[in-house]
Amino acid sequence: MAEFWQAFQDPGFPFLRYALAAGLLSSVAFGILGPVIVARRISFVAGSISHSMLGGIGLALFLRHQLGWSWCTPGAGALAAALSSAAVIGAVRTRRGEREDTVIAAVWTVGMAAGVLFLSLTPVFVDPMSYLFGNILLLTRNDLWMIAGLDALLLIVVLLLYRPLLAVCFDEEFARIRGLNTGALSMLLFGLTALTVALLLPMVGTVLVIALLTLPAALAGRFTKHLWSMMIAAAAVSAVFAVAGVALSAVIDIPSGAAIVLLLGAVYLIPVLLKRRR
Amino acid sequence: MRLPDAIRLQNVSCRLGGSVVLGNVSFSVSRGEFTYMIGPNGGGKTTLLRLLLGLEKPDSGRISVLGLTPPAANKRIGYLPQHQFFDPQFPITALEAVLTGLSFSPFATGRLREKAISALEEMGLGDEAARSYAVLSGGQRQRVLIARALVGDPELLLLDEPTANVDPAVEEALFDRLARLRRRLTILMVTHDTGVVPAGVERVICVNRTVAVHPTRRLTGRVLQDLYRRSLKRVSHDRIIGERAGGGHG
Repeated sequence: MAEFWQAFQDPGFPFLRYALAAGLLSSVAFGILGPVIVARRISFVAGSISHSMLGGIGLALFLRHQLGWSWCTPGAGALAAALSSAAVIGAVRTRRGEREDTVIAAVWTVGMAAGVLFLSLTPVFVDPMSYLFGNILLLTRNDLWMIAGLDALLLIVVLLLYRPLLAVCFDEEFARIRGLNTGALSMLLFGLTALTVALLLPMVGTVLVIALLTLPAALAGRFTKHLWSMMIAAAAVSAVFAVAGVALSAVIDIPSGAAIVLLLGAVYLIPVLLKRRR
Repeated sequence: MRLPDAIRLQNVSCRLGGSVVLGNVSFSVSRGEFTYMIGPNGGGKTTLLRLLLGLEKPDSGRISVLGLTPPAANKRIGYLPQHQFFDPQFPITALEAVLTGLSFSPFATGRLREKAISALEEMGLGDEAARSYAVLSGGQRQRVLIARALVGDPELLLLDEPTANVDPAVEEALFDRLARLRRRLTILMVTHDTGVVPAGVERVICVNRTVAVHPTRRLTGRVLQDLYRRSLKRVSHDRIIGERAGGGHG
């Protein structure tokens, strides 16, 4: 632990401080969006949007290296893919007769398959692991500003639209009858999810981001009775586990993202398993 | 000037997924009337309510609700959906749930909160306002949702199976409250229960792809047998809630 604090204070090694700052800043985003996703029961929509980003990343890398389009960055590709997937899922939800879960699965798997395809066609070797799982220790100051901007956007949205979001999550049909544009609100929610998973891609990748969106919120939901208190508690849970995960990874030399998710997963799942055995 | 009927359907047909759910349906409900809607599962009761709310569009025919074409009148309608669609783990209090029937403003003013609490009190839940919806009993949750339907002072109340999943005592209390409410609004209540028709219900609408409207006293066991296409063991009607049960047949 002493080594961790030494490294943390060392001016020549900013990555640990950046990692902790990213963990704390992203807790705000996970705290606001996670409870809405959990309460609305759209974790698989978030999973589908997140995993489909691999297709955008693969295409961006292919275009960058094959056609020399240097502006085509993996981050831009991920954001475009995430927003497109959100639009597709949002549009399908409003159509009668379409099986929503099948469409979610299709977007999820087609996105990943496209990613694998384009990565294999890219003339340089790209390790997909960094995009699947991210690396909180490789974040830059710019990444931190981006996450802070995302937090500000989510805070503004939730302050202005808390009651409509609560109503839509609780009973979408009733909210629609009361005159809310529930389709637009759903699309906004999917769009914000897309933006969040794309901006947090370098930190935790396409896979782990889902755990951070859902597990702190699910833990917070065990001891809160309002959506707003669930948001505050989820942000606090997320912050505590981000700090604990980064510290643990530094002490025993394991990947930070995996450490955060494993700690969260253990605390969430163990009581669930014990409860079922009673 | 005479107000238009609360509900008027003229030759309405509706197909869902290729099947005819309602065929050439016509009926009307007057203002201030308390009407029951019964019929077998899949007979079109819920589709009829969804047509009145503009959630489904008819293939043909005309629908008028409070003199307007759905969904134009929705803000003047109180609606109780079927209970099983709700997530009992949802993080919301009874008061917040009722407020969703009143305002979507970022800040619930004291006046709105007082109105929501008053709606809860009317349903006998004044002390439960701050409690989590998740920890309330099935009957209490149902009454929270009825308070949500009533909080906006609707002119028309549409109730879809309000007595499903509630025990007989809660059901009696609910009927008692509805009987008092009918003095100020029109009520259309969908139910699976053909055994109890509370006092005050003037007519029963029997729905099974088509619609037949009967005055309550002429709803005989034979009518129900024809509607459900099976024998019913016991049917009693005109039961006055809170007093001795009245006549019956079956």
